[in-house]
Amino acid sequence: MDSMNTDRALLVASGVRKIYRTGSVEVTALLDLDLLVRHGEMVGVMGPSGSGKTTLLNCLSGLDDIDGGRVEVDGHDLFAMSDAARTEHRAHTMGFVFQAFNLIPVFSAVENVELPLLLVGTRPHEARRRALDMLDRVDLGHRVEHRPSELSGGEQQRVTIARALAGRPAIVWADEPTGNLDSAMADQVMDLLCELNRDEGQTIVLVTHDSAIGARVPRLIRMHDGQLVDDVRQTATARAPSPDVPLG
Amino acid sequence: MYPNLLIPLLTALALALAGLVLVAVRQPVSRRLAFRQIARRRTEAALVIGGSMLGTAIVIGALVVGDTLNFSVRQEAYRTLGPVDERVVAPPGPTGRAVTERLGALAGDPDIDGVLNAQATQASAVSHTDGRTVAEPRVLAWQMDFDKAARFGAPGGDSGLGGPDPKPGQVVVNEPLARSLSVGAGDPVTLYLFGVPGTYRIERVVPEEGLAGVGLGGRLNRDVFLAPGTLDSAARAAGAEPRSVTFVSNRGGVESGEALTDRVTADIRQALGPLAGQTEIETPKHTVLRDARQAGDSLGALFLMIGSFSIIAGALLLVNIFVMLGEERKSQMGMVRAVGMKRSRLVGSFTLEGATYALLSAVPGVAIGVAVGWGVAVVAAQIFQGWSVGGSSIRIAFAVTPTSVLNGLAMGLLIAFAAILATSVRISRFNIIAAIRDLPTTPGQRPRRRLLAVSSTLAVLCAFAAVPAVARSQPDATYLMPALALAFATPALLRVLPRHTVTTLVAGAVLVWTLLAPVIRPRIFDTPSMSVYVIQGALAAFSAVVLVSDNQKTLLRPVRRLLQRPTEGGLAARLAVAYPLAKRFRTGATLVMYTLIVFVLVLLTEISGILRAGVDGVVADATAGYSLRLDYNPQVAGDRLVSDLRGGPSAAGIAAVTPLLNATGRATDPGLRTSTASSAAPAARPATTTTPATPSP
Repeated sequence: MDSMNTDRALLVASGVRKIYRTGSVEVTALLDLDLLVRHGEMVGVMGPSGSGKTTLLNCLSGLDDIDGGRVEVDGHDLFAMSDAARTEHRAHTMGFVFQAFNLIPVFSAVENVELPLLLVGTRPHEARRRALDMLDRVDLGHRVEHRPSELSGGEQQRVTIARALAGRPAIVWADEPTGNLDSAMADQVMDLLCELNRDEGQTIVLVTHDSAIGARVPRLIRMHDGQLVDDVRQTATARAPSPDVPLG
Repeated sequence: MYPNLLIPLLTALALALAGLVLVAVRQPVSRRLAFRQIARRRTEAALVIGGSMLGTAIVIGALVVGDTLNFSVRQEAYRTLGPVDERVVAPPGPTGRAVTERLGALAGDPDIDGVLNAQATQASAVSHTDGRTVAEPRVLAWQMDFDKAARFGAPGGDSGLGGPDPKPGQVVVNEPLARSLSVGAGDPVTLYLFGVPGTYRIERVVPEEGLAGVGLGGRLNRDVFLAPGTLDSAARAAGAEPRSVTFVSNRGGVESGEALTDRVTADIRQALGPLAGQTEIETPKHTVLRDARQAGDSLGALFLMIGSFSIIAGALLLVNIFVMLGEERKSQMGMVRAVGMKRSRLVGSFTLEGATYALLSAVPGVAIGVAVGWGVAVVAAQIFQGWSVGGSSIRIAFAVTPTSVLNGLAMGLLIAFAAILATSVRISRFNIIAAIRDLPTTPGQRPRRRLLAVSSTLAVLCAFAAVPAVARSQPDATYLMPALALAFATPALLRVLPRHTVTTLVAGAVLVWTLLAPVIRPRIFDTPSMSVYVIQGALAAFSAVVLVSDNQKTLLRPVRRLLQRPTEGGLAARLAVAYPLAKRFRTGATLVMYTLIVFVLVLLTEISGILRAGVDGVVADATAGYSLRLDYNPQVAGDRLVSDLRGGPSAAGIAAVTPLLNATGRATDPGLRTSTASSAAPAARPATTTTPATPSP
């Protein structure tokens, strides 16, 4: 890591190790992994099943503990903090998009989106205004009072993206964000994420097993057996959005 | 019941509610999450409210039972004493007259609002109603001034006896005597005063209240009130003298006057001077009220002890429901933690939700608890009525006090809050990723250093505390301290031994200690406290279930072949055990609930068996092997009764007839305290209040 250029570095991971233990069996999921992500980057993480993609996201975001190494996000060592401090740091600097949406079923779309804002102490009125703006931004301005069960899968994932972005986080972690969607909806969601990265400089780290999705990100990392085996920057032509799928 | 607990319980409840209000105000997201779940999850809400209601209802039910018994016994004070706080019984003759004179000085005592002199004697009565003769051998004949009796006690209070004096040849009887003789106003009645019969007409029948139910220590008094001078004339004619009885009423009402008992008793002794040693000074009001408190507390505590297991089962139901809610919402909870909700706020949200259910359950819980108390009172009234000897049983009257309702409400809510808080802390400790992806919980990590240090320190402290507790056979601590020491040692043991081994060792050791403690230290049950039974039962149930739960696979080994059969039945059996095995905590909590229910049933059966086994011994002690006791007045029956029994048509079935004489004796100790005792001796010929009996063959 000493040789890494850390200018504008948002995430710096060095020597990260993660071991899963089941009884007496130990499985090394991440092995001395180094990674640097700069502000405004969109990074895709690909690899075969069991290669450690999701574990990488979980450990670098601080959602899961690590067994060795160091992870800094926005200048803060995640694993030197207490659980409460890490949670607060996560609330201020990170947004999450997961495959299973994980919306609160008893909250409406707008209430789900304003949830992280209220958790960081934003005034209710301001939180509501920003949540409505974000829902407009993902083209769900007409569905704000609907509950998750009243929304389609694509709409739910867009609510999730709105929730992840509402707090203007430094980095958005997306774990298989299109995994539960059909191809048309998956394209819509990817178009939205790419647009946010391109137009607003939103830093995004996206885990996928879908090569079509992987082909659309500017920087693609490949993993195998818990190690980074490839880290490439892709050309813009290879990343063109689908011409027949409207945004949002 | 338990007025001394009211302030601490209400304070604890107020603090808990204040904490909840603080969470609701300062954590709007937690509040929104909690209240939205309540509004949208009605079935779950109904289940939690049911579990919470159970605890409140059982506690209030137990306290109301105590109230009822306390009130019922206290009614004795109103029925048989009224304003009478002290009773001074002097022997017949000049001493009695001297005592009456000396006690007249008490009228000016500021602690006393009434002194009433009366003469009394044991009598018997006969009535002829509808062609049949009805006899009552146990009658108290009184002679007192009705005008003074009406004014006896606190001004404006009801002494129980008033109206004009009966005219010569007339008597006033109380309801028990009228019932016993089947007579009413205007009917004739024959009274045997000092063995001499005389016929009187009943002027009126008065309710058994206050002075109209008064006696010389009995629970049921059949009183007849004679016209002035009647008893004196009868005594003179028979060459006898009636007893002098002086009733004293302390300042205040029926119950409030009791507080002055000690002072007034001292005043009475002072007034009597040297005659105190020859006089019986009784404090019946104080005795009745003390008995009422003891009876109420004892039965309430017994009911509460049995109910405690149901309360624990109710709390476990709450825990189980909350664990299920937590599992159902696992992915949501994982997500809210991921987006920045701190664990403490998640705990706050769950606690707020649970506390709201508990508060919603409070009102129906109180109503059900009072209804349970009422039901127990109805059943108890029937049981006590069955035990009645000549109507002398305690009359159970339902009663409920605000203190009991508030105590029960506070206890029920605090138990529910504690169960909900503990469960909320447990379900909030999860791996965020496992929760979001709805993955099974991974085996627990090794305990953290801080937890290890705290638990090890507590284990050592409990072990130290256990030594003197066990040595002194302290009831609760003998069970609790060793069990807690073992439980607190668990994190340290986990550092060196596998989890399964540690759990089995600790649970096994607690169970063995719970079963062996009464053998090693039998004196732990030499206590009136019921809590020791609750602790013993709870420890046995919990440790046994943990032991079974942690060794499920071993226990199921004998049926493994059955489960692995490749048939439809085998598959069904495999499915049936798969879920309980997978959800060990929930299965364990459910097992504990069932264990406690079975435990209570076995406990009740055992108590019933012990009582039943004791009945034969008690009957033998009380009857000396005789089957029947006949109380009769020899002036009415003469000696013929005994000879008729010995030689009559039933003689072949009678093994022995033993006439007894009984009399009341009095003893005075060096401290001038007097006490009475009843004694009986075989009589050459029966006399008043003899009790011949026929032994069973």
